[in-house]
Amino acid sequence: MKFFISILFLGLIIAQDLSIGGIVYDSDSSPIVDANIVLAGENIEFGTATDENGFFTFKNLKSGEYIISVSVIGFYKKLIPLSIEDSIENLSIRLKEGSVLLDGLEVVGRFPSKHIPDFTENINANELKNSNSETISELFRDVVGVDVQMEHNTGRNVNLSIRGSSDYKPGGYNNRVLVLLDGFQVSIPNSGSVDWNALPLEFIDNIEIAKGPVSSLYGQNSMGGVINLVTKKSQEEFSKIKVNLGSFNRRDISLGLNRENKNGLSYLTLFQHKEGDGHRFNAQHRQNNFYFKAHSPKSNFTTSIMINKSFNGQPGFDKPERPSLISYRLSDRDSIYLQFFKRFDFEDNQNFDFSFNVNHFYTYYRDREDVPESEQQSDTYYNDLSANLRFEYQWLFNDKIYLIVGDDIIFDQSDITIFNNIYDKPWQLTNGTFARTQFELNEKLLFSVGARYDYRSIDPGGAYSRINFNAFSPKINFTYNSNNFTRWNFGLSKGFRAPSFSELFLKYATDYGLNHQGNPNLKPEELYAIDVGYNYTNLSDINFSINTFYYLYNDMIDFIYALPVTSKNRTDVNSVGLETNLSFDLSSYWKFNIGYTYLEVDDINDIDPILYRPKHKIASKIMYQKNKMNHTLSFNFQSEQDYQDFLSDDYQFIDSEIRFPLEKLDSLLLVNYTGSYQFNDIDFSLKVSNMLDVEYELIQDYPMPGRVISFSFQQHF
Amino acid sequence: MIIILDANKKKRGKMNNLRKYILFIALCSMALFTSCDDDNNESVPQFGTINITINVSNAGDWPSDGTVFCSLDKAWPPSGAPYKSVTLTSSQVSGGSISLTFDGLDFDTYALLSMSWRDPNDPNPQTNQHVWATHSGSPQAFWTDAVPITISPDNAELDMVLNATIN
Repeated sequence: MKFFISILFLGLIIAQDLSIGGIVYDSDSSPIVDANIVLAGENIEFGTATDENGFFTFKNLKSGEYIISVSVIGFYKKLIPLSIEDSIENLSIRLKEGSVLLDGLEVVGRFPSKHIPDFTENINANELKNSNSETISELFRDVVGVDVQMEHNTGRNVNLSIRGSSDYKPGGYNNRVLVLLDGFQVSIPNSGSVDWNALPLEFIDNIEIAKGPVSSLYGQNSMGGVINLVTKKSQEEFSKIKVNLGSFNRRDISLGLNRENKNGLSYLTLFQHKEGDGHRFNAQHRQNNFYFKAHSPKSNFTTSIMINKSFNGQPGFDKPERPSLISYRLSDRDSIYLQFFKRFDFEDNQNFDFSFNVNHFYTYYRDREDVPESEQQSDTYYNDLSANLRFEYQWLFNDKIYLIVGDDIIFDQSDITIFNNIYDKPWQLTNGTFARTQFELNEKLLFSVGARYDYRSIDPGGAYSRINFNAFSPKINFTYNSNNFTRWNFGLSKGFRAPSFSELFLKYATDYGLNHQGNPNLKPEELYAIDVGYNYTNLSDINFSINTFYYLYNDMIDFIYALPVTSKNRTDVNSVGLETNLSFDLSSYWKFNIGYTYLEVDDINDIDPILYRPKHKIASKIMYQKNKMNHTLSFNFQSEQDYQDFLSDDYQFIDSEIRFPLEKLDSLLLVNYTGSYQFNDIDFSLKVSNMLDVEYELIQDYPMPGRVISFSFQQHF
Repeated sequence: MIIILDANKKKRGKMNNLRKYILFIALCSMALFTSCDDDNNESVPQFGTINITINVSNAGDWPSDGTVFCSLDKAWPPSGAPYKSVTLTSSQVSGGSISLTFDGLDFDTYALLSMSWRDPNDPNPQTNQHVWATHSGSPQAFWTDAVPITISPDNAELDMVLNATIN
């Protein structure tokens, strides 16, 4: 461990003529960019990073014994002992993909500094490739500590909850997970939810998941955690076409192109069309995606645009005794995301990052043409605009103290028919100023402290004056590295979230007879968090982690099922949980992974029930990989979970208020299979989801699909 | 812990921008903060209120079982749950009347304010609700002829009286 630490105290370099160089590859023989390389010898240590071709070199070395350490997020760290008598220029280092990597700071220099939460779980490219999921929202059902409630796999309404941070409510109003695409926010302003249909899984290289409050860096909507979708790197030129056919008349086609000019400027482009009839009446979908990214490593500049046009049926509740709940609604959505990123490097390990993005969402709800006259509803629309300007300054001072300071300025506006019409196109302006430093207390103990101050001003429009919120979100963290293999982490933090537009201004009569009503008198909610984590790895084939947490929510904002359904600040809510994950290689071909989550969320005063938080979740995978063949069998178990049956006529009466009966969704066990085979330049893949054809629901009265089979092939040119 | 910031890259300029950057942030923050002075929303109401008085002519006949409601419906005949509803008990009757308030109401038009009793021995939701009083309308027309109640920012607080007979 000593040589990891003492890199911060570089000694004198004794110039010699010898040198060491080589290339770092992943398991697919693709070079890895910006891998961190440390060369340690007697009393000396050097650090560098691989270039865009995965190449690194150390010069002016003297002969002797050395150890090379290679690390990068998403891969297991590798240690290579070397005895150097002559120069070595052709080292070939192959890294193995790893599911968890805790070295947050090591990613600096590769990604914008936004991605430095202390504990980051990484879903790497190999795991994405072998996943059984057809959509990104579906993918998170396999992740320990993450719960997903959705109407169906390709539907609009998805609630993503990290460590029980939020639950499903019609419309998904209480989103506490910040979703980023390459570090840029992609949430829809009116509710904080995400347009999952617009995010192309085929274009995602890896996914970083930070669990627990990260408000000290990100502020709004990150009190439950942060998910960063990292798009593919343009490491090599390619052209590929992918066709996917499956159950329910599913038919997708994608065309991906990557080109690079002489100056190193690369262009990555994706065209995509997807459609399917859905597993039940009015569950069809159709979407067209266009994604373009240009990246210049030379000038550290990246720009991208993503355009999505989607069409979805809204299937409604499946309740045989109430046939009127069958929905005849359709929705169209146009989404545009425009992103710019520029990094300026300065001397003395200082750099300045500039990010700017604009997102626009237009969603239009209407009736099907065959809607019965008695079921007809008026058209509604959602028009959302969001812009974010973010600056970050990073400084590695004296090679041992890391500092980041920055500022976020966010503008949001929503013009929506289901807001109370006494308001007029509400908008909000948010400023968040943050700072964080990280340094070593001793050679084994790393300490970080940071804080963010957020100020938000909301203009409801109409005759109403502004509503202002502010919050201070600190975080301290200790990381103890007892040796190269084990690491402990202890964190204390405070999270914060201001109410969304929907929680403030909603006025919506549902087609199932309930009225949903916002509350402009809401206070911001706060979260006080304690996190303790332990990680062990033998640096080759075993990785084990266990994390526990205790969270206390103060003034949690929730839509309470009463008459009308109203958003309010709940009394205190707390949660306690445990997540553990074990992955190991049974042999060179067989790999095994199992993760378990225990979660308990309670209303301390037992006033309003806590919904849609399963206590137990197990996700397990057995993988067989040999040559160009891959088989993955996955098992997902989820225990039963509470919900309030707001479709019931059997009301409960508590303190003169009407409450709906508390019911339970059944526990579920799903078995999925993915097989793939590569033949020359063609990849074949077969996926079978829900092999046992289990009937289950993730939201009350929204039956999920039974067995789903899909087949895809991908041709590289 | 390893900390490397593009160690191989050439140095590109001097870091005299730090002060400019901090100054820029400070100016942005000041501009935002000064434009966000605390306002309050006390001047214009955002919700309506109905102060309700229910005169019960035969309070002694209050049923020993079942549930008595006071409800506000946006549509009548009702479809789904009422917009607002509370339960009433005989202990609330004081001097032959019950006083209660519905607040936090949308500015909207409401079809019917009613007092009703749900018969626990009748499982049919179509027939188990017995209306004892409404703000307007006639039982012969099943109160579809009731005069709608409109609550608006200009007419945010109303007083309503229901005359109920327990039957």
